[in-house]
Amino acid sequence: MPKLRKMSTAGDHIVAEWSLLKRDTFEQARKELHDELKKGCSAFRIEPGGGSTLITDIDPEVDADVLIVPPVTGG
Amino acid sequence: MALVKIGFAQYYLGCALEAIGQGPQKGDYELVLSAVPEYRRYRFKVCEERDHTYREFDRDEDFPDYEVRHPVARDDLFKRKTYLVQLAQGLFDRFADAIVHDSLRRQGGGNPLERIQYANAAVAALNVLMQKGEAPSYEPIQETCVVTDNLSVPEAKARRLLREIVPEDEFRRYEREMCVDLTKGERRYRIHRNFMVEVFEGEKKVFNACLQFRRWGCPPTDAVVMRYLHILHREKDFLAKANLYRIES
Repeated sequence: MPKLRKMSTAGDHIVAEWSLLKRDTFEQARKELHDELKKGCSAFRIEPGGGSTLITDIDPEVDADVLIVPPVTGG
Repeated sequence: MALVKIGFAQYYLGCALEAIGQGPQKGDYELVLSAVPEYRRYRFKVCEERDHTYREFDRDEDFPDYEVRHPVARDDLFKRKTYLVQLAQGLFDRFADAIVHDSLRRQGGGNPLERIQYANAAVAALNVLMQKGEAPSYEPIQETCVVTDNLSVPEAKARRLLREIVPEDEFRRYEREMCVDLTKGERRYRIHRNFMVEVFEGEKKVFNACLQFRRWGCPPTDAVVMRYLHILHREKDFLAKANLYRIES
């Protein structure tokens, strides 16, 4: 089932799972994604058959996980 | 050649066994099990020969690492997915215990009692997988029981994530050499686990690029995923944000 996942210090963290979300809680998940993007995170859709796409919003109709990558800087 | 995925079991520790039925190829059926987090491959080869062999391959040679040859009469080679499942069940009965213990021994960590407990639970879970064709709905032991210094739970999860993102051959290479290559236009980026990104133009290395998470703590392979995705989709942004160290020729 498609999930909203976040890269974190504890590993690949699952924020939300579409199949378990009601309409209003889906909006909360979307809001969480937008908040993360404002903080400098990036979001990528992980295609089930391989490959990825840079995204700025989530679509529960698309059967693919979304990965949130934390902010980055030069090292 | 058709690949038939016949099951996927996922346990704690990011340790999973994935079974893929493949064939027919030259009259053979093959089942390949990939044991996460090392993704060590166990290949069960169905053949007509009357010998049972189990041999270990050199890590530096081509995968798989282990091969089990299982003799089956040609008449029994049904071209049906269910046959592969039945066959896998038989093979698991014989080898699951050895595979799980071998995988755990190589990972190390935990104490011997914990490893035995986990091995028993994992074998039971494997049987559930093969009988029902789906992953068990429970996690046998808490994640924190067995954690190695070299391959923690986050790192194991990060490798699983990397496997979803990069092509299979690149992932295999990462397991061997700890780096993946990504070509964008005329540039080739070599993304290392423990080093900066090397940037090549043609055969010439032009600079090293360093991009890291703003906050520390993510496992090293997560950084590889991050760099791979940024270069793939936001190359200009990657080059703008990364610190670049030009190579003097």
